[in-house]
Amino acid sequence: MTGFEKGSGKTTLLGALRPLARRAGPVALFGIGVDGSLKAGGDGRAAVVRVEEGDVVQTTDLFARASSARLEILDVLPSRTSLGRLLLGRAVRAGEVTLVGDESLSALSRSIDLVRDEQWAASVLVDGAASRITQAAALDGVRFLYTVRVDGGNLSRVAERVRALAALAMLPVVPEPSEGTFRVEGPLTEEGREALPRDLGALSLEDLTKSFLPPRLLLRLLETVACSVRRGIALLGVVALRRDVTAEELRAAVGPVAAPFLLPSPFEAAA
Amino acid sequence: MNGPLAEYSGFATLWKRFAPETPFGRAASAAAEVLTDRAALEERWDLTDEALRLLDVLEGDRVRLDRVRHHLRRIPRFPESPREAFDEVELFQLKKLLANHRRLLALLPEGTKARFGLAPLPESLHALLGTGRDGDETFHVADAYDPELASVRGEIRRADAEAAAFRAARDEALRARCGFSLGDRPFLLVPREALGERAGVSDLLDVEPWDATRLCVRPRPSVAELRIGEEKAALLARERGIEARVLRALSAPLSEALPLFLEQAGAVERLDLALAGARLAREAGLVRPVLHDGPVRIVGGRHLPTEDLCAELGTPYTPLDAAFDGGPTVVFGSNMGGKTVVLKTLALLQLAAQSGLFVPAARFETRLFRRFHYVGEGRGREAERGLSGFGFEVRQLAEAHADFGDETLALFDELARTTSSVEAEALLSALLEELAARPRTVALFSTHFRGVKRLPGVSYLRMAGLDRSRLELGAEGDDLPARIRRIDLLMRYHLEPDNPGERRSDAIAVARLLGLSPGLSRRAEELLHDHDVKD
Repeated sequence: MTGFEKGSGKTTLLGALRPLARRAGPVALFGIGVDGSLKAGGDGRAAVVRVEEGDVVQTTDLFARASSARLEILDVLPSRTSLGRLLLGRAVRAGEVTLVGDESLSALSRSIDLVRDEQWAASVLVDGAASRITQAAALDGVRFLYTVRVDGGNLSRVAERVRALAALAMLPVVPEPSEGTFRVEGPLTEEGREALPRDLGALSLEDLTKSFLPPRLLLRLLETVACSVRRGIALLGVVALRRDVTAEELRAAVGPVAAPFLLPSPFEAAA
Repeated sequence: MNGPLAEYSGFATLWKRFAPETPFGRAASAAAEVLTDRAALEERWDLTDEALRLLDVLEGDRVRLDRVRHHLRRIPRFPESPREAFDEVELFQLKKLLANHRRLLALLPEGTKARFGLAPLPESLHALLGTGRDGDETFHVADAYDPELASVRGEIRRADAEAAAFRAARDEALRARCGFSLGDRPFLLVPREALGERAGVSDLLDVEPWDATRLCVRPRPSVAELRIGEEKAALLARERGIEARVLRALSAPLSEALPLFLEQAGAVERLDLALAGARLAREAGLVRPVLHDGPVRIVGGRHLPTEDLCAELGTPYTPLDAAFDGGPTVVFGSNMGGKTVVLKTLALLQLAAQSGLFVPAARFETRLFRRFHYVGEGRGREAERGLSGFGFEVRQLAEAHADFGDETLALFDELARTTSSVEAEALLSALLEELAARPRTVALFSTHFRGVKRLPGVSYLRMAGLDRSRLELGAEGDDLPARIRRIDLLMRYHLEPDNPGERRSDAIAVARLLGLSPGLSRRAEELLHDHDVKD
């Protein structure tokens, strides 16, 4: 779960999806880093999730002790946060737990591998960091969801970002680009875009997270250059929390190509 | 560890391949301590030999071998000092250590366990930490530890069930009145018309405007629910109190047993380091060094990075045979003749040996050094910005000079090559004079300066150089890799005594092999000949 900005409802969406994921078996819940409100000494409600018996969660020993759930400790991670020692716990009693994650994506990846290897959970939900699409590339077999808050004031900006995201997600996956394709190693930045050959015909990115271009510049590039990615990362969709914007208005704003990526929000009752 | 020397010699690359599995072994590997105690070093090598024997025994039983590694990997760090109350994380670590230690011991032959000092930890501790749980690698304060805890948790479950029943009833009522329910969701956006009269749901929902067409609704807990919540908070506090009591009770016997844990952690670390050393010895073809008080003697010494490079280039690699007595040795040789590799090989072997590893050689007899110095290219110069190349070397030389006379290994790779040859030879000669009288320091100098003084107590060697009888043989291709291959094939990379007055230079021939125009190199040869005649 990731979002265009803080407060876009990632953790809330994760909470809503967890019961669905549980249909396949126990769920493992991870965060990335420490929630900002916790760092600021707040109550950290933003990072609280409910776990059922058998679910696995990453938190710290201090939050595990304060939780209404009871966790049996499965593993203690080498890194420490300001909020205690990071651990993986399995709920032996349902309740609410504060998610605390490692700042390092490679550490997160190792923890997820451990959950897979030990078969502690059937699925893993990650409450990702906002505005950091690069995190998706660090995890094997990942699919990601975007959350956005949209209102009359930011509709056109959000729509453009969704269009750019959808365009990236739809790029063909070509692991071995043909000769003559310009191969971009690492991120494609605005400076990198300026340095591309003028007569560029085809471009290959490592994966969709490697575009650091502003949406408008990216969309313009994709109109003129045949672009592909060497590794595919699946975008499940975009969940929008709308205020004073109808579903139809949002679909119209993102356009017919990106509209299929818009998913219904679990927080909206049917009209 | 001498960082610049480790990088220069290629030891850092070898050390990265040394991969212990336990946190204790990894910490020792990260510390990269150079051992200067003879008994400690011999013990490390003895244990590596023991681990090699263990690998032999387990060779035909890969599953068992994998399980040994598996349990080593799962052994965690644990608290190292007694506490009045260990917390749950610390008890988890002790329990996990107990479980994996026991399984590890079950896989090892009796002789191996005895050699490494591995012995069972008290069975009573397994039972203590396993109370109420099936899994022996997980921990929480189980109900079975305290009847009062079980009772309080029963009350908490009852409170949870009652709260869930209230939520279900609210959802049922909502469905009946409004046609929607909240489920697990903390809020829901509903069309304004869905609620009808707000007063009709005020007992079930908190309602606030969201936008022009929708309202945001959240569950409104009833008084009874709030009471359950308060009751649960009190129960949770009681639960924490009882858990703390259990933790204190568990901690007493564990604190008492902590010396045994520490002793066994030490034994596990020894096994881990020895197995890592044995695996590396197998993979890289390393042999046990021999410590003595005589000269450093290398038979079939392999500088692994160069060996790898040769394999990549498709050229043969010549292992090094050499002996270095106390005092200085000067190694002359042509460009690309292998002088530097001689220095690097000695450094690699010595650092590996004193780090407790076996070494890449057919045989390596050496002694212990307490100080290591390397003076030459490749050392980071960040802290020395503003110095010329020569100035930087002199700074390094001053550091090394302070340790002359101690048990020091000092390597000088083309010292003073950037200054005038006359002054460089004078500087080198002064160093040789001083070192000749200090046999506890072994110093190697690679140099092109043949004017250094010939002194008693100093060894003078040279690389054998190009085989000129084969110089005119045809080459395969003239691209750079082909030219390098040709030089490698023509070059004889062994050491031989260098006698004063003998003159042999391959630089111009090497330049020609690298593509210098025949006319230019011929003229250079003529000028060199004239110079030799004048001398």
